[in-house]
Amino acid sequence: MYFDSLQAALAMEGHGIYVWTVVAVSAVICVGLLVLPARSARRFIAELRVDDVPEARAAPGVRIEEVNNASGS
Amino acid sequence: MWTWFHKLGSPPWMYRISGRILAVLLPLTVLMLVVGAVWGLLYAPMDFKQGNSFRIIYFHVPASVVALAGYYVMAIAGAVSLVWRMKMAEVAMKCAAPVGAALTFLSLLSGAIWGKPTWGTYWVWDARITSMLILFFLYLGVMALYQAYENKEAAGKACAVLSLVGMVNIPIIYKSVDWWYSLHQPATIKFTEESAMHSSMLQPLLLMILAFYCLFTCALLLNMRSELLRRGAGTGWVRSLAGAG
Repeated sequence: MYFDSLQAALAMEGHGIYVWTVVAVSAVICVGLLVLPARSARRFIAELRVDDVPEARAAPGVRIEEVNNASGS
Repeated sequence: MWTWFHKLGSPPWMYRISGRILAVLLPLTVLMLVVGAVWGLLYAPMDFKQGNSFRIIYFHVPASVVALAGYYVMAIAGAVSLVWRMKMAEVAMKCAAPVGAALTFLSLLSGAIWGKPTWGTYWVWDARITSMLILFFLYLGVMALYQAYENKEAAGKACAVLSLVGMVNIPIIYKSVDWWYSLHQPATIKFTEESAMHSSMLQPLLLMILAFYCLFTCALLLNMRSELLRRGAGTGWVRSLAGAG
């Protein structure tokens, strides 16, 4: 490792605040780019499953897991 | 060859093949991002002029390079959707816009943060930075324009035209540091001559650029899969997917 200690790596001789802020923002954006569309697709498929069960259409407040359990899927 | 091209226009085929690609590419992308970031942040030597703030390069340059490449993807997809009226190209164009916007935002923000210790200010109305801001607005413009239209066919056409018109900004971004006096440093990686960076700094940067290209591909495919599901709601292949889960 280039730095002598973890503290030195965090401080980066006074530039740590800039570097680690960019790292944090980059991590949030990268994770968001991958997780949000995947979650959106999963949610859409779950909604379709609910729509396929007639009881679920009659009771809009019902949870998806409950519907799946009731329909045995 | 043409069979493959025709298959590309089939939503169920695209959904299935993108799932297979993602199963390999997604873990590889995460691995490259982690290795590249740790390498650049903790193992690469410090820059003698800029100190450790130079390590922002490992996020700023990959985000900028791929934000520009993403615009090519969006504009080419727009052109294909206009010329051949290929629905899959329209889906790709629509889905590339938010990914490109996110990477352009990261490029602008990381550049602003890097500017403070290097130039003493977060922002200057410099040619490179301003043209990148215009690129960000172009991405946002395509997203807003698509939402503004009720008729999605007309929305696709309008967005394709805007994407193509916006292409004029791309060479301006590339050449801005040569054409105008600029605070922004010239290109770090050059294809025609030796790079300005030492190989110990350059290698993690190249890995991060490759990782960001893969990240863009993964995010684009994930967005396209979500969009294909929504567009295919009610069709047999989507219903069978919902039933199969």
